[in-house]
Amino acid sequence: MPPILTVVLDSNVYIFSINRSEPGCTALLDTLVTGRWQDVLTIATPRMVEREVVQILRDISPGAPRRFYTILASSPWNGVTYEDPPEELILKYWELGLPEEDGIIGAFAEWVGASYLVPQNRHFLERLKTDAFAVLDAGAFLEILMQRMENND
Amino acid sequence: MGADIVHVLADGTLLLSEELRESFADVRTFWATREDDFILLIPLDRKDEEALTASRALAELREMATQTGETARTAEEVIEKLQAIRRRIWEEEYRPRYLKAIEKYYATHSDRRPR
Repeated sequence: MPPILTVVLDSNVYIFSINRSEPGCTALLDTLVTGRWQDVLTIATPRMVEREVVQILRDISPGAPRRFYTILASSPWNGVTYEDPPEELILKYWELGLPEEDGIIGAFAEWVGASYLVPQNRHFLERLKTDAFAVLDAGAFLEILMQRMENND
Repeated sequence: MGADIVHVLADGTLLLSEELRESFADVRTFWATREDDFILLIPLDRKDEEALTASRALAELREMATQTGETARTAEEVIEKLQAIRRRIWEEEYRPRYLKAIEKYYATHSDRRPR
């Protein structure tokens, strides 16, 4: 059996999916919340992503963060990682050209051993080139995930 | 109102005051979100409700977003708003922790120092 994939979703994937404004993000979250991912996939979430999404959701409704936490508490999500990556890794992602605040996301993905970082943001997709993990948009990652599931059957 | 001190037992159990216990008697699970020096317990699941699944939670979030007009935002507006939030969180919560790394980095990359 192939090893469990670790994936990091950036904040905009959640918001675009909730807004249904990007079909790839909508389809990816629909697939993740309805599939059976045990032994296949785990989603690691840095506290930066938690903070950002919750701030947006609070403006939508006071009850919205609770729904988001319900998703984070469900498989394939692995809750929120409240520890932060080490300085050396953050420095690495600044060296690779990311702004200070985005460096934390790249460093986190490498630190948790992610195979994929999934942002829906041209800035990230075009700028970040690393051997540590692949950077894909939601639609491209969903295709990989579906292929993997077919191969598992 | 009594003192709402919560004792932590050796096995990790939280011993709530009578008043707190009554307030949250209908809660089955909490999400514990961590800040620097405190945790925030957010009721996730109530005993009198049908269990909230991830699928239903996502559907309800979408419904809320539609009702509040959040869905009318363009992709550019969403990204701009998220970037502003990320910069603020970085400044307030992360930058102080990584000051040494920041100084080390800008010592050799002064051209990239934010103005």
